[in-house]
Amino acid sequence: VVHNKNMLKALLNLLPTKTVYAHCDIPCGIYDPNRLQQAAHTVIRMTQLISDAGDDVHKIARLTQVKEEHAEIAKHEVTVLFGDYFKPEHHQKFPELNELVLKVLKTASKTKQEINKEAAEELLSLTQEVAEIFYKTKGLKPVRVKSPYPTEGELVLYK
Amino acid sequence: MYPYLTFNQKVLGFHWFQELKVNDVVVITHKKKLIIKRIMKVNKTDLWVEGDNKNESTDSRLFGWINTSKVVAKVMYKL
Repeated sequence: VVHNKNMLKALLNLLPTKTVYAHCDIPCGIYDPNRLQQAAHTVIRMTQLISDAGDDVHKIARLTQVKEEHAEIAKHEVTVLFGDYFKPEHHQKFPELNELVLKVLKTASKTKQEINKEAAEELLSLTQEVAEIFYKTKGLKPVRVKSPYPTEGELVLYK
Repeated sequence: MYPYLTFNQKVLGFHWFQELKVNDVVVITHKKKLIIKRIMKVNKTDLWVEGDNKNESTDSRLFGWINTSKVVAKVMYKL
């Protein structure tokens, strides 16, 4: 019987194969809220530096560009988590998720439109809330640690 | 589809099958790609499919019911 089974396996292995995927975006399953938080930290930092830049138009232009880019990164990252990672059961468990993501998007836009320290800090705080929910959906315990960045704000990681 | 399937696992599927029922593993076309999922619910025309690896799978929980015409093969055997 074992011999026949091996023969069958060998024969079946000769058949032509086609690759099929278990996930829609490959390689799927690699999601992380860190880039989202880093982007928010960068927006805070750029806002601080713009405020300190005085009349240096060139410097302000460069800092503003980076602020814009990272606010956009935050929007992209939260959209990917929302669209690709969070599932209906996560929404059931965390009904605040929809509104939270919408707030991240709106606040990120505000940090682009204005040089607004409060909005930038609000953006970080919202991204930290998203990160906490993310880790909880993975069964991990989120912890807030002091970031190594000049913003001196916190980062949400996990235990 | 872990733990039922692992990366690069070969399966034998048939395009000719009599019926589709809950728990069958099927290959379906989705966004011009072939994906493999398990049937969780069936109605007359549509299927609700999910991956076994619930935390990571992108499936009907995200894209909803899919028409049975999208089924390319029913998995019969794991190699």
